[in-house]
Amino acid sequence: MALTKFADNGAPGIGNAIYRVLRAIPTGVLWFIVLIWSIPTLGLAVNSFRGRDDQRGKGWWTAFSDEGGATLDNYETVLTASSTNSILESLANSFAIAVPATIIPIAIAAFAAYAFAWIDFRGRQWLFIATVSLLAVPLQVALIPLLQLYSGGAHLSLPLMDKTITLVPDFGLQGTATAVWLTHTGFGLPFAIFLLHNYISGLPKDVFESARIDGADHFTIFWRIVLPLSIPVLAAFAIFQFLWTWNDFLIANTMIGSERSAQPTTIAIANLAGDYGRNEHLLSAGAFVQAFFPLVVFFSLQRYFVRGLLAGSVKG
Amino acid sequence: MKALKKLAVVAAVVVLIVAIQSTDQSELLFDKIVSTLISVAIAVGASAGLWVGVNLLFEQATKNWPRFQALSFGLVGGVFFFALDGNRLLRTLGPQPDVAEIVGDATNVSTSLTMALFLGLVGLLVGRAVALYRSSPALVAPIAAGFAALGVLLGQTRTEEVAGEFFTRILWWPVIGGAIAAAFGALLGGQGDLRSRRAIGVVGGLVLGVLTGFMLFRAYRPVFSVVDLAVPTLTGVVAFGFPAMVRGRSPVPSVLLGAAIGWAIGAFGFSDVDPLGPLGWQVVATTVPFVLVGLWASWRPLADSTRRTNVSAQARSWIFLGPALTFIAATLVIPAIRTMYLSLFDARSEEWVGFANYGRIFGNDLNEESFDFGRIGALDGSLLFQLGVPLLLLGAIVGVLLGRRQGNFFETTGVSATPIAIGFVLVAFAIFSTIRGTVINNLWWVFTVTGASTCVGLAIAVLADRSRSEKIAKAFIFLPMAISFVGASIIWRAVYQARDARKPQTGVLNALWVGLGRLSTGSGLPTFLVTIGLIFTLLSILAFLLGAIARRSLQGVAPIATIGALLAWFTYRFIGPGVGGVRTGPTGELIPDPALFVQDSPFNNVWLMIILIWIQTGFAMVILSAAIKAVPAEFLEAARVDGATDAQIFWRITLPQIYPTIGVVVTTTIVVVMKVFDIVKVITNGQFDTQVLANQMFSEAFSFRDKGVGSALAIVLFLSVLPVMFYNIRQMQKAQA
Repeated sequence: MALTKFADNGAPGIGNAIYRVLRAIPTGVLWFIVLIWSIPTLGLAVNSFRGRDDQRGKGWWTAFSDEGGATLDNYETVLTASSTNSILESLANSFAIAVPATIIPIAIAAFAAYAFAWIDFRGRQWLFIATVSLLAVPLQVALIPLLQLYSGGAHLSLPLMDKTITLVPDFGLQGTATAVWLTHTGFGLPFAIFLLHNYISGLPKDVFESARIDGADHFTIFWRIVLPLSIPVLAAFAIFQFLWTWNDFLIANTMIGSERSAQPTTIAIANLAGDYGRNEHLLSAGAFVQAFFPLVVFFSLQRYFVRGLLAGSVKG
Repeated sequence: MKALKKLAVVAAVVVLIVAIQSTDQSELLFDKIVSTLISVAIAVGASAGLWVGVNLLFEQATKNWPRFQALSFGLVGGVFFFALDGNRLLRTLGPQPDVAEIVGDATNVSTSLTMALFLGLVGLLVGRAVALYRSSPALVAPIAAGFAALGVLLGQTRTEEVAGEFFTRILWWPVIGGAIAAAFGALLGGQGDLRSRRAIGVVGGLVLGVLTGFMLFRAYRPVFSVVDLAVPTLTGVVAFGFPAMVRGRSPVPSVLLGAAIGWAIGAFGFSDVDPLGPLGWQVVATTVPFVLVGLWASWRPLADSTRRTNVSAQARSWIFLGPALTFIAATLVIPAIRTMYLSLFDARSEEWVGFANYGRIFGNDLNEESFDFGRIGALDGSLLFQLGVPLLLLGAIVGVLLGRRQGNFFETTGVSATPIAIGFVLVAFAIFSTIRGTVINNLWWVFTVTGASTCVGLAIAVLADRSRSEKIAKAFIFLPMAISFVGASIIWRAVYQARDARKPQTGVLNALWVGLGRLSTGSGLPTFLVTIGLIFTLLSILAFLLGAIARRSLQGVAPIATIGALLAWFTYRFIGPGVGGVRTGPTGELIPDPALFVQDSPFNNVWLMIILIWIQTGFAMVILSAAIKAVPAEFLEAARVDGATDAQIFWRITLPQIYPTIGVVVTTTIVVVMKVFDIVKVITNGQFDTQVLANQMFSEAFSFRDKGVGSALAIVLFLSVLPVMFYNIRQMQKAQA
């Protein structure tokens, strides 16, 4: 075997003590990286509990050595609805976007994933590949027409007849949460189908066969067998989609823009960051409130998240 | 641990509730939450109802064919008439507002009854679905009754809204059209005799056609010539009949359908419109296609049980796929095609400009240049370039020399690969920082972020593998994945903050930078200690290198030598001219000189990229870590038995095993980086030479309202990820095969 060519190596010819130090280097390097990775977040976390003048005058690291109390003022300001810099309403808006945009694609994608995995029909293969290849499409490519659709409907003008036919009426969705979650639903589907298909197609074949012998049709099999068995992967996708929709800035900014009553948290804190200087001290608290729910979801359901990540990418 | 997690979730909910309760505008928020829940319930309920309804409909195909025909014909007829009516092509039916006023109370009652009937039918459907799911048929009646009661309530309380708009304008035409179509569908479904079937089809078409003809608004009354009518009709006949003939089927049904469509297009698309024209022509124009469609529907003999089963089975796949494909088509595919179309028009989508928008992008005719080759002459003056090229040459020479000793042309070992890799990165950075422009910036992002996050992610995965603190360490690295790009930008903006030189720095990086400057120019004890430490480290590295050369073992020489060279340079700067954020003022005194990380072009781009690296490394780490753990243990055992070192096992066994996974990580990251938007938008909004394609697209399309250029930029973005898409498809085909 080719492996024998490694045999000409001696053990490291250095003393035992140095050797032990060297052995500890990887762990040391690892924790050094972890420290670097955490410092930015740590700094913001510390700052969010410091007053305006403290934040402006001295670095956050001085808070550990200086006297000077921690304060919850920043959090109080951003969470009080009456203050002009409140992000409380945007928090509700974020839920209004993220909850439907998480629940609805799950159902739709589960149907499709089941069909791609267990129903025979012509063109199944290429239709699946076509659907999943949309994963890589940058969503910028759909933004302008979608905004037009939400703000004016879709119309087809027949040039020879001098008549415009309405394909989709104008529902006046521009500037509403509905427009955002509808968009997220569509954009999330290719990934959802890919993820769920990977899982559902791996379910044991015998289950389906015996169910079919018992006279169950696809509808029954789906409700009674596939859905209950797929709970883990549904959870994984739900976490993904929730994080993705909660943290989205591009779609919300396009569809809602400056419509204050419908802005989600990402736009709200970006606006805080935008008016230079004046609200700098609220930014840290705002960013933490914005990140609170994703972090809770992430830490409580990390297992599912990692599983979903792996199922979604290692295969293939 | 589990209890702790549950506690965290509960705490989050409690905090939210308290936060909402404690505010003075809790009512407003409450409304918002309730309306969200209602909209979710409506969306889920309506789609579930629709979906179950269609499932039940196709179940009828095997159970009761006439009923299936009646329902499906009725549905198609209803939708068709809804579309006609919705486009204001048909005259208004139902009680007119003035009539409603005269009848008064009676309308109230009739509205309630109609509404109850309508909602009762919906309830029947929902009830069936629920009953099917819970297998208890007793539920149907109460659910239907509940819906009917809701209808009565709506009719009583909202008489005007319901009767005014909903019934007079929207409901009647679909109901009438649907009912007629359903009646003929039911007749057709029960009739086996071919001649009678065709008679039913013709009569059904006649009824609907004449009805439509008489009720069509005058404004669309066609005056057609033979040519206007014959050309589209014949085209339809050929277009539909020819494929059927090629496939060896009877062309008659296809020809009928083609003729109907062609006729309709000819009569209403190509003819002149004359509101004072004869009514007869209008009736003929609508009746002919209806009759043709009726014949088409009745042409084939009554379906036998095989075909009924086929219809049901075929429909199932489309029912399951339908919602997803509809959504994807509506939000991705059709808009993407329309974007391509819009990219060929001017800013207001009015005038056709061909490829002029693309010409402007690639001809540097936008607010920011796409490619700026103007400074390419300065490339050889770049320090990075001057360092990178010798390193590349060094690596190449070493590789060839080593290769000659082994009998190969080129030997890839640490000694030759390290200088080449570093040299390559340096030269790439030199090129990217000299040639400027939006597209170049995007490429720089892709190169740096993809490379760095994959390498760092891999390094962390290897370092953490099998170490005691693996889980915690990985969670920390992974955490940025849960933070939004906007949040990450805010976090890093604080890190990069630069303040007036006279004040203390509040950004970590500048505090370190200025502190380093003070240290290197100072003369106190700390400076002395650091100098001693640096020199000691350098000496020990030198000792290691000399020892390695003496032992003639090149193990680990290259990385250590690289670190040593960097450290030597740093030590020289530290002792000699000084390093860090301090400069000498006019009178010889030292002034802090903070770095403007965000403003100083071109390397401000790199500082922005670091934010994305910070986020993406966690992703790379998780996936690569799983791949490393999946490498078969026997391989590693065998190598260890043969005496391979850890480094050799990694480079020669683990790494080749995880190549496919690295491919996945790289392609996924490329797609993410190519679309980078939020970071640039929040931190610089494209100022200071940091523009990228996605942000430029956003500002062109939505700030400057130039839909043409915005669309063209989106298409450029799309085309640039196309290779990745093809690679993914290839991988998927391989996996499926």
